[in-house]
Amino acid sequence: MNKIKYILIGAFTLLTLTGCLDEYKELNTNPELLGATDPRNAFTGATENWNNSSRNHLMAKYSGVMQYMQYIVYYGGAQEGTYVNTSKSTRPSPFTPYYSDYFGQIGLKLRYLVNTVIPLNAEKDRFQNVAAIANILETYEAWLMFDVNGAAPYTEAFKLATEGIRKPKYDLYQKDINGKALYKVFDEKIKENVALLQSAQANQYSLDKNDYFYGGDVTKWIKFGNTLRIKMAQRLEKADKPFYTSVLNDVLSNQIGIISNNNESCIYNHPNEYNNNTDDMHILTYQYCASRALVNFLTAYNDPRLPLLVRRNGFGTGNNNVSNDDVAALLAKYYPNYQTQFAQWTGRYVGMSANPDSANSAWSTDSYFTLPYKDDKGVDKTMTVRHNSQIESRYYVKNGGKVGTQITARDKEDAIYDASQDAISLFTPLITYPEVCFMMAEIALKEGSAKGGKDALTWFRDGIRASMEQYQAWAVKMKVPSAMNPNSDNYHPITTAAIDTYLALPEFQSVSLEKIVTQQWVNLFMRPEEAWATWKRTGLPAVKAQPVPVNGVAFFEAITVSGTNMLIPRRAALGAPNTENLENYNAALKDLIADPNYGPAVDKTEGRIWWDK
Amino acid sequence: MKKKGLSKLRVVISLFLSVIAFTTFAQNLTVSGTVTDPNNVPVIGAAVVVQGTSGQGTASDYEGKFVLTNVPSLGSIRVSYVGMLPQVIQVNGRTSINIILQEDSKTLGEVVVTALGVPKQARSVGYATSKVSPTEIERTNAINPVTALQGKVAGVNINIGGASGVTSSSSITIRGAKSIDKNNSPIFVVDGMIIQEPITGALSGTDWGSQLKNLNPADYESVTVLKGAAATALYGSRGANGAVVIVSKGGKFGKKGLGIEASQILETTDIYKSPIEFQNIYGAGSPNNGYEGGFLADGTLQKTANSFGPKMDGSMLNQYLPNGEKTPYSAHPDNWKSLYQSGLNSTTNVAINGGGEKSSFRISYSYTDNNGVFKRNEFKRHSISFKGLTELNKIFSLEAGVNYAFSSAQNGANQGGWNWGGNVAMMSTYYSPRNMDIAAYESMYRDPLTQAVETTTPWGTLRGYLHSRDMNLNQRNENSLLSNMTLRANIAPFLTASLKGNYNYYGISTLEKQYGTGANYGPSGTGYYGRGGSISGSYNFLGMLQTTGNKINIAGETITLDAIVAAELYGNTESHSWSKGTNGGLVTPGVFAFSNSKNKIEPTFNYTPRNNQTFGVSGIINLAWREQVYLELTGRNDWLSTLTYPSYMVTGQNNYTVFYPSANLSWVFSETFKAPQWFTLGKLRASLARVGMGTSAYATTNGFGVFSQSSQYDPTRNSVLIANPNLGTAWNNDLKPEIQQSIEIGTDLRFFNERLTLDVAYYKTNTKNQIMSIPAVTESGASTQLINAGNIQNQGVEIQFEATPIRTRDFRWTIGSNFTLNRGKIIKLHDNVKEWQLMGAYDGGPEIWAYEGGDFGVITTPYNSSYGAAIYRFNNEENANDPRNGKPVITYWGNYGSPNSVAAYGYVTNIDKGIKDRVVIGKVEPDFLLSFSTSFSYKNFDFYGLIDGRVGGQYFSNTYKYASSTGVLKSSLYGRDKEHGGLPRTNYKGETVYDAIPLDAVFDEGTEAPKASNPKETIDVSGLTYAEALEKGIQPMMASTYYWGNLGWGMPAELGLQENTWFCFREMTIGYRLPESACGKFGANYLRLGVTARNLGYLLNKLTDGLNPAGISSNNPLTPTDIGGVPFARTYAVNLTIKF
Repeated sequence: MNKIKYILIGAFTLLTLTGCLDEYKELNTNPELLGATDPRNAFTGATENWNNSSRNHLMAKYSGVMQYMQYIVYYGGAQEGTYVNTSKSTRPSPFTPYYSDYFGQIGLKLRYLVNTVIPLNAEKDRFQNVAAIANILETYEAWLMFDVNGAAPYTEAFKLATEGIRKPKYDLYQKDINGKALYKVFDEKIKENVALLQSAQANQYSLDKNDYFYGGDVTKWIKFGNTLRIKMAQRLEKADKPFYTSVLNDVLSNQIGIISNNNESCIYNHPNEYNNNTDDMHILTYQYCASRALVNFLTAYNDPRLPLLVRRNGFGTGNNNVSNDDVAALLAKYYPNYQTQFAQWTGRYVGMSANPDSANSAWSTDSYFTLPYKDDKGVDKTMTVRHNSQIESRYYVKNGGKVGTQITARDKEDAIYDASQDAISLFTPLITYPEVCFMMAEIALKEGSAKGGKDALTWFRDGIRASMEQYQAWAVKMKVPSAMNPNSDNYHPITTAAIDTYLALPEFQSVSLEKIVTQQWVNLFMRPEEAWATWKRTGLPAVKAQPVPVNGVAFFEAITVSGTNMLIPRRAALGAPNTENLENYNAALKDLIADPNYGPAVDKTEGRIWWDK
Repeated sequence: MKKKGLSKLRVVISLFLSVIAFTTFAQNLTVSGTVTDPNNVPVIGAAVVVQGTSGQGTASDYEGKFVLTNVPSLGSIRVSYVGMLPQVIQVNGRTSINIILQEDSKTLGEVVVTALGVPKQARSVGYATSKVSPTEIERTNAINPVTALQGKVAGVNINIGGASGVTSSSSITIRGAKSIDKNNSPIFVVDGMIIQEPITGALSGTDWGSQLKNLNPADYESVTVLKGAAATALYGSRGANGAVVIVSKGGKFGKKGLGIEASQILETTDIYKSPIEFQNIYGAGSPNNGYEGGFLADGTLQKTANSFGPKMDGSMLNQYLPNGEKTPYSAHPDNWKSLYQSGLNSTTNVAINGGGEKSSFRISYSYTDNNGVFKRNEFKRHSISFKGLTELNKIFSLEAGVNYAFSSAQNGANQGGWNWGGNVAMMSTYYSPRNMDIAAYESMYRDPLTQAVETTTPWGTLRGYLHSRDMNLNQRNENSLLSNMTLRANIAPFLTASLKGNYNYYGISTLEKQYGTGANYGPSGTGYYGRGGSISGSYNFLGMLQTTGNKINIAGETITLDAIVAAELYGNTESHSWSKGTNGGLVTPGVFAFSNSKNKIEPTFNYTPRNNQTFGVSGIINLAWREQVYLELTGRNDWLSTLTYPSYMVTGQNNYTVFYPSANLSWVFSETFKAPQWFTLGKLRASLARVGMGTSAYATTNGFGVFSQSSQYDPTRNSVLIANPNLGTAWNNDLKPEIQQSIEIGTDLRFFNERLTLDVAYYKTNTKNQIMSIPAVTESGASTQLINAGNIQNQGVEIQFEATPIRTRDFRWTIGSNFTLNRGKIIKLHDNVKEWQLMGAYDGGPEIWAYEGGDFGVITTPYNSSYGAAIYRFNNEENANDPRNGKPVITYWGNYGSPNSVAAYGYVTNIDKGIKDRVVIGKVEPDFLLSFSTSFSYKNFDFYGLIDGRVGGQYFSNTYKYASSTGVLKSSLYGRDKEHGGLPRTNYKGETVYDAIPLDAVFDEGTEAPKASNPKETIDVSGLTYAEALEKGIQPMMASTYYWGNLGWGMPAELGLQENTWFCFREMTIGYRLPESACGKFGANYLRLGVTARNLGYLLNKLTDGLNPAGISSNNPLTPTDIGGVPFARTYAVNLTIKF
């Protein structure tokens, strides 16, 4: 056989195949793949759709943190399975996108940008700012990941191609594999890169339009970095107080400072065509209702944000389901005194109970009420009225949920509120100015003195004002009718006068931790993960059987099943890696479980991450 | 680039020309003639072979005519046919020879077409081949030739699918699936051009078929199935899954005048059974409606698609038709039928052939108009084919063939995973109750004046479907051109050369029109108009030098040596695709123009350059000894572009050359041992072969970090460039060719003058070094890695049996049977990967996996998921004889409905018990396939019948999954009344009714069930059987609650598993041929009238609930599943063929 092989190969290679390999290489080279690109374009790719890139991200947000934090409740009534029942063998597993995004996109591509793309660029010195911003964002994402998971590969991550590390070891948040506190590594990295940005040469390339956060504004990135350092340190207030104090003092002495107005809020603005198809994500329109805790607080003080954040129920026209207008007409006809008969519902803004036990009460077996009536011919009939309000879904879904050219979920609102998908671009807030105000208010309150130039009450009141201005601006951006459409029968934009009236209420003339966190909670309506973290730190809002606000303080509704208290999960279950790396994973779990607060097993999500004392 | 591409072509040509340079003057002839039996009846398919060569030959056509080129003028030819004495005839310089064959002889002289289109004597071939008669394929009247092969060849596993209508592909595998992540279907070689059926996955939606549907079966001269690697070694990497080799008909030499052949096929479809079996007793209602499924408080029928409601008794009720009128509340057993049609299909073929001494041609035209069983689903095809052959001079001859087709398919059904509104079978099984008069609804769902679709009834999905079906257009037009040209040279009596070029062009253009559902097809801003298209192509050049009839003397024995040297170059051409569609709806409803788009249109255009080429050089040596022992040795070296690395990857290993040999041996031992008279022929064969394969274009770049870049609109609609590196895969700089290795042994035994023949083959194929992408440690920077690994083994047995119990002058009866058994197994995957997911869970259903050391394709429950989880079964560990052991464990779920609630008990699953592991519940592969055929002819009548079937293996039915919880199924009658075994229960009105389910199950530990006497109180029923608990006075569960709560979406997967075992009466044909004398009266010389019935019925169907095996919507043999379904339909075709 071999002989034939050699004869054949010999004859033909000699004659013709010289040059064949080169030709084949060229044929097998995809001309559309670029060996090099402008690092700025790679930055846009690495940060694209930041932590909100798939349907699953949103849907898991609805069913997870948005329910834990009692912004919304499942429309069929609160579900036991959302919470931890310690007597059961399984636990809900809270989803956050950080881990998968860090390893699949953000960490992977930002590190590649910083470690490979920029160093190989002929003008690498002019991309120092881009690298610094990339480092800040990469650290931010890594921190978010450790914040909810407690451990992950970091030091040895992403080193397969460069150092051949196939099985990266896991770092702990409190101690990396070099024995150093990882949170300090994060803080130093941010600090270093902020310093780089502050000392940058004038020849630096600006990210400009490639930066969907700040449009390349370096000052804003510096402020973001500074603010982030305080935020990261604040998480560790109980776990490492000296560190917290030193970071706070270090940052507050920085000459550029922290985020100081709504324009400086860090918000990721998605590409225009992102989520034009709202399939599945539109379930927010009908599978969830606003919670009693949220609606009660907003109604108690006539909060101008109410009509912007919550939709009206079906006891009257203008519910987000157009067909409900017909039901409202029936109601008015056959129950002429429904206003008094059903006074509980006719305020139009009615939240749903988040307590599974209340499924047996008048509050909420279902988001619909069935009312019997005899029609004009005397035939027995029934009507179903939606008695629970829903949240305004437009912040999360374009047009509140419009799917292609099919009959739409959003069809249920009204045609005049239907904007072109092109005219709306979604956004995902990361750290916002009002959030910073409440953060500083808390810090100042605890220090008992002004911090960052303002005292606690000023930060608190500034935060409320900023939050209201922010939601008015966001609502306009997202085409929320009550904020921007004068044709809407519910046109109630947030005006300065309305804010002043609110701030003039006696409840907001003084400050307390409970009030601060209450406002922070309302403000974090679009960043529920941060509300979850705040709740872990402070235990606020506190729980009450009936979530009725007192003195400007909101309460969560107690979560019980057959009278037994359920728990809100406090951390994610660190996901198992590919079996190849199970050994390192198991070693990390052992370290995590060594902390009794973590709980006896990875899936016991009522357990705590190291900092959560 | 282009210049370099040409250089390789030049190699092929230079091979050819360099040979010509050595040309000596040849004295070879083209011999034509007719083979008849003693009664002057043409012998069709007789083998005509040049003596002393290893296989140069041809077969006589339907008129008994043959043409043989390159016959030495002083040589001899051998003519043979099964059951007749072979004859050897000296040519003596003649060009026209007529032969009369006498009956009875030893034979096996048939010719088979082997790889590279080389015809060979069957006796010399050391591996299994199977020939299918083209007439058998033609009369099936199938659009896809795969469908027509069903049951006809041992070793070939076909699952006929029809979920998309007429263009649906059937799944086909030869000798099992060999790859875990690539297309496992064989190649189709059409006159040298290679086509492969693309895979349409289980969830993909409309299957528009492949280029194969543009071929006209009436043009086939022969269809041969090559099964093992030995047979396909010379197709190289392309032949790893086997090959179906199709050769087109050509013209006739020496014909006086023109021969004209015409045939007409008319076919009707008889839809005789619903896709799933329905009940016709109960109408609309859900058990949790507050009235135990019955009428609501106001006496109205519940608005639901569930059919757990009151008995249909004919009373007048508003059943929510658009006019709101009361109609009789009665069963509509055939309401599903109005969603289907039985059209008239027609195929017309006309062919003209002719020729002189030096040249011949055949040209044919065919028109097919085929309607599927789905309304407005249609396929039309015009095809023109030409084949010509001419002798340029004593040395050179030229052959050219062109096959052009224009086809148009419209509204293929979409029964995939993501288009529920378009799934026709779901309309009657899931979206409407059994009392629904679908035909009446169809007649009134649209306002006759404004055309607006009604919006008031609860039948939203149905009206959406009907609107789309009746108005919208989804069309796909295809242009297909297959062309080939061959230049042959007879250099010397012992030496020939040929150069063949093939080019294939495939163009697709699509059209989509959608109307709004409002008045006058509006409103403005709805509707859609879109067009798109793609073109692609491929080429193949083959240069071949062949020497035959060389005698070598070794120790006084003469060994005949034939040899071939060939060079081949093939690859794809550039391709592109485009699409353009209105954005934001149409301004003026019903006006389909891009200028009528509401928003700015952004068309797309994608271009892929030529990116795949293989150059191969091969040699074949055939040795023959005493017509007893034949040995073939082959060797081929391929250079594969797909295994090279772009030059910027300096460490890429470029393992792009692969050499693979094969050997096969055929020993006609009956010749050696002077077998007794009744032992006509005995042959043993053995083969050993390897095949090397490449991968897909650009695969070597995966994970290298190079960027794809494009522009996108930023939040304020500015254009911004965005770049992403292709990270995430561990780059592999050392990809090697995949290797497939096969051994095969077999025997061909013939007895009693071939009245009994048996062909048995055993084979084992191992596919190793597969290039696949497996999971890696994501945290290391690569979530997948491209590796060379694995060893998938298929071994099996094939038996073909044929007997002719009666053979007289007027009457001939044969029976035949094919048996196929294949066992696929994963011997090894990878050091780190022991399992491989073939199909993920769809909508709360099971998954399909391959495990190292296990079957290839097992159906499992998903890991750690409560959806599709296995039922937890009772197991008393202390007492193995506990009668409760093995029974399903149930628990009390709660009471549902208001004001009157019903108790629901349901299955406890493994997940509830903390058992996360996957549970294997079935396997995909059949135990074996079996088919029977019989044919007889009496004088001018002929008959053919075929039964085919498969035994073993399972698939999961999503159709059943969804329908099972809605109460529409006949099987859901069990327990719903006394006649169907229901147990007594007191209903909410206080009456005793017999609608409680008799459930054979055991209550879980710690279960408290409500008392029938007072549901507020509960009893501990831990460990009691359901029957015992009933005796203790728990609230019984209504049968409807059982189906509604326990079945349906996310139900335990084993409940939806279907035993994929069936036998189908696939085909029956009766033909009558007019006697020649009668034909002569109107100038014809052949006229046959045939009636063919297909898919007459299932003799055995183990699928539950009357499901149709043709409802499987995936043509990937590893992922059988259905979502929707097709009704049972028979076709009847009349076929008239006339020749002048």
